[in-house]
Amino acid sequence: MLMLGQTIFNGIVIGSLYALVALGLVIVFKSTNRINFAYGQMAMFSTFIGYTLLAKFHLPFMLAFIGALVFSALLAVLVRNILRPAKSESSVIVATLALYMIFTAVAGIIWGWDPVSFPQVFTGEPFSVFGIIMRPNDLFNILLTVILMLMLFLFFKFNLNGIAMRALSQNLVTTSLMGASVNKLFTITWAISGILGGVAGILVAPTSFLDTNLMAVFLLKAFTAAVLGGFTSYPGVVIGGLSLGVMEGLVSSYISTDLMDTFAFVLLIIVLLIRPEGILGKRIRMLGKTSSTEESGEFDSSRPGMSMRKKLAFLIVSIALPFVFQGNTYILYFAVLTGIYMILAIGLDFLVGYTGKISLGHAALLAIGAYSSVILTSKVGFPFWLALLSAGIITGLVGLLLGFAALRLSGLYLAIVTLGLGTAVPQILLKWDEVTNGYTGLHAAIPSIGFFIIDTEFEMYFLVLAIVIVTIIVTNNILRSKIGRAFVALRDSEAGAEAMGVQLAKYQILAFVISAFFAGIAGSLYAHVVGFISPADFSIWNSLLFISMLFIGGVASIPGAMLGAAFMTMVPIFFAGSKSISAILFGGALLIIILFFPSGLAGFYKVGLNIGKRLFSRNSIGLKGPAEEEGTNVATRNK
Amino acid sequence: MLELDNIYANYGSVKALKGVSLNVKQNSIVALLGANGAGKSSILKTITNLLRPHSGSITFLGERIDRLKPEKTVRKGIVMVPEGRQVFPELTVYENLLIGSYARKDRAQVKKDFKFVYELFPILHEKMKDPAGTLSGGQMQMLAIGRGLMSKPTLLLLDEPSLGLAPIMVQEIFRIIEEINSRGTTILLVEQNANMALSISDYAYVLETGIISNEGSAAELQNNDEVRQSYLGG
Ligand SMILES: Nc1ncnc2c1ncn2[C@@H]1O[C@H](COP(=O)(O)OP(=O)(O)O)[C@@H](O)[C@H]1O
Ligand SMILES: [Mg+2]
Repeated sequence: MLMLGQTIFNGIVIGSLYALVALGLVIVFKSTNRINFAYGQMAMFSTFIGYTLLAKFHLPFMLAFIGALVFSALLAVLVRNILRPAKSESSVIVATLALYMIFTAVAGIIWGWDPVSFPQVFTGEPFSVFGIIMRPNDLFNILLTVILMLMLFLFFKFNLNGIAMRALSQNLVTTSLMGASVNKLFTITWAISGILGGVAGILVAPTSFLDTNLMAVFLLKAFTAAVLGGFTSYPGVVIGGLSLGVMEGLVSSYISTDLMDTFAFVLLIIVLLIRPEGILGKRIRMLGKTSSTEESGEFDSSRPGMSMRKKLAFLIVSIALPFVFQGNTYILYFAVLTGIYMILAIGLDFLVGYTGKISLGHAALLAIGAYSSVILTSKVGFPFWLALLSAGIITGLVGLLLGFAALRLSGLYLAIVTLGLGTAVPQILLKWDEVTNGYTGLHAAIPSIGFFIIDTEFEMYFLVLAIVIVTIIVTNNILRSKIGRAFVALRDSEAGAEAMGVQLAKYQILAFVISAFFAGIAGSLYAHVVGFISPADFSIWNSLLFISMLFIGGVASIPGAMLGAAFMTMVPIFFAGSKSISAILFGGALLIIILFFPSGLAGFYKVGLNIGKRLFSRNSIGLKGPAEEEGTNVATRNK
Repeated sequence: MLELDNIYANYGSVKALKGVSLNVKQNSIVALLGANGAGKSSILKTITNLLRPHSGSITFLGERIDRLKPEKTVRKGIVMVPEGRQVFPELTVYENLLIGSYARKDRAQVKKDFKFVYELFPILHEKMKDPAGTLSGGQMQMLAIGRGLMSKPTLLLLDEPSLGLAPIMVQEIFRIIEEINSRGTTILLVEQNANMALSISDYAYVLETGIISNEGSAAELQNNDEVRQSYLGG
C-alpha cells in the first residue's frame, strides 16, 4: 500500500512535467494547427542558457530561471517567424525537424556533447508524509506546475487576449473582425508555449543530467500525454500527463523497470488505434483533420526516373570508381555506405514522395533490418543472401503494420507514431540484451555468397552496387507499371486519385511495405559491411539525417534520393566527422529547402535557372511571395 | 459617411466586383440587394479589407481606409457581422460578446453596453453561460449582432442577417435592426429578402454580377418594374 502511494506520488511529480510540455505543444497546435517537433530541443537550449547564467555568471537561481524563460519565449517567437513561409502540414513538420537538428548542433558547439549536472532548486533533506518520501524539490515541481496551470486557466478564462486566443483557434477571420491582431495573438501563443517548455526543461534537468538529449525522450512522452488527453483539450492534456506519469510508475514498480520508457510508445499506439480523439478530446476537432488539397502534391519534383544517358553515365562512373580508388579503402568504404543509404533513401522516397507522409522512424526500420540479419546469420545460421532477403521481408512486415496504422491516422499523428517507433526501438534493443547484447552491440558475420567471401571494401562495393542497381531497376519498373501511375496520381492529389478509382488504402500500405523493405535491405547491408552494430547507430538523430538527405536531394525522384544519400555521406567526411558542423549544414540546408525550395535541389536548380534567365532577359519570372499567415490566410488578397 | 468609388476586386482570377460605387449617409439604413453570387458579401469584405480591392478607393468619414488591416477598420468604428453568423462555438455567449469589445479601451462603457445588448436580446442574458455552439440559428444571429454591437460600431455591416431564420424570427431581427439604427448607428444591410430590407431602409442598391444595376430610395425601387420582377416576386 505504501509502495503504491509512493509510486503514485512519484508519477505525479514526473507526470506534471509531461503535462507542461504537452500543454506547450497543444497551445500552439490549437491556434495554428502546427506541431513543433523542435519543441523539446528549444526547451533543452533554454535550460542550457539557465545553466550558463547559474554556473558562469553566478546569478541567483530565481534570476537565472527568469532569464532562461525570457530567452525561451523569445526563441519560440523567433521559431514562429522562421516557420511562416511553410504552408502545408508536412512542410511544417520537416521545417521543425530541421530546427531540431540546428538547435541540437548549436547547443553541442556551445556547451559540448558531454552531460553536465544541473543544480536542484531546493537541496533540503527528503521528509516523509504518511510514509511517502518527498523531496522539497518534488514539491517545488508540483507547486510550480499547479501555479502555471492555474495561471493559464485564468488567462484563457478571463483575459481578453486569452479568450481571443481561444477564438482564434475556432475562427481566424472572424477573430480579426473583432479588432484583434492575429499576428499579436500568434506571438503571444508561441511565447507562452516557449515559457512552458523552458520551465519544464529547468525542472527536468536536475532529475537527470543536462545534455543535448535532455528533452528528446520527454517530447515523445509529452506527445503521448497530449494524445491521451485528446490533443485539443487543456484539462485533458493535464490529466493525460499525470496519468502517463502514474502509469509509467506502476509499470516500472510492478512489472519491469526496463519497460518503462517503451511503455509510453505502446500506450501511444494503443490510444491512437482505439480512441484517436483521446480521453477528453472532441471528435470534431481531431488532430490533423486537414483539407486534403494542401496535403498532397506539395513535394512535386522532376520526373521520377532517369534518362538513358544519365543511367549510362551513372553506371560507368560507378563501375570505374572502385578501380580508380582501388588502393584507398577509406574512400571505398564511404562509397559503400553511400550506396547503402541510397537504397534506404529510395525506399524512404516511396513514402514521402508519393504519399506525402513523413516517417521519423526510418532509422528504427534500418535497425530492425540490421539486427534481424545479424541474428539470423549468427544465431540461426542463415546464409548471408537469405538473411539479407529475410531482413527485407521482416522489416517489410513492420512496414505493413505501420501502413495499417497510417490508414487510420493523419500525417501529423503518423509523424508522432514514427517518432515513437524511432525512440522506442533503440531502447528496446538496449533492454533486450539476451538477444541484442544491449549496449555492447553485436558483431556481424562477413558476408559471403556461396564460397565467395566478401571481405574487402572493393568486393563490398560491387555487392552494394549490384543491389543498388537492382533497387533502381525494381523501383523504376514499379513506377512505370500501373502501380506507379497510381502512386503518381496519389502524389498529385489524393482526391483526384480516388476519383480515378485508385484504392488509396491499398497503395498507401504498399508504399509503407516497399519503403520498409528497402530499409531492411539497407539495414542488413549496413550491419555486414560495418561489421558491428549497436543501438546507438540507429537513434532518432539518424532518422532526421535520412529525412534531410531526402529533401536535400529532392523528393519523388530517384536521382534526387541518390544525390541526397551521397551528400549525406560526403559532408561529414569533409568536416572531419564533426557532428555539430555537419548537423548545422544538414539542418540549415533542409530548412532553406523546405521553406523556399520545396522541390529539393532539383527545384533549387530550376529557381537558379529562372533567376539567371531573369538577369539576362529582364522578363520577370515571379517567384511565389512569402506566406501571409500560418495555416489560413487572414484575407484573400489580389494582385 | 462611407463612400466606395469605382471598386474592383478579384478572387484569384474570379472577378467579383467590377467598378462598384456607393454611398452610405450617416444615420441611414442602406440596403444592398442582389442574387446569390452577385458580389454583396464581397463589397462588405472590401470595406473591412478582408478582400483587398485592386483599384478604386474607400473613404470613411473623410479618411481613406482601403489599406487598413481588418483589425484596424474595427477601431475606426466599422463593424461587420459576417454571413452565416460565425459565432465562436466553443466560447460561451458571454465570452462571444466580450470578445466583441476586444479593441475598446473604455471598459466602463463596455459594462453598460453589455446591459444594452442583454436588454435588446434577453435570451442572450438567459443563456449567458452556454457555449455559443448550442444556440439555435436565430439565437446565434442575435449573438452575432450583439457581438457586433459590443464593438461599438458607428457603421454596422450586416451580411444576410435573416438567412435561414423562421419568419417570426426574421420580423424580430428587422425590428431590432431598426432599433439599433434609431440609436444612432448607421447600417449597411446586405439582404436577399428584398421586401423586408426595403421596408426598413432609406436607400438601396441592386447588385448584378459585380455591377450596380439599380439604385434609389426604398420607395423608388419598390415601384421600379425591373426590380419588382427580379427581386420582389413580381
Ligand atoms: N473565397 C472565394 N474564392 C473565390 N471566389 C469567391 C470567393 N468568395 C466569393 N467568390 C466568388 O465571388 C463572387 C461573388 O461572391 P459573393 O460576394 O459571396 O456573392 P454574394 O454575397 O452576393 O452571394 C461569386 O462568383 C463567388 O463565386
Ligand atoms: Mg454573400
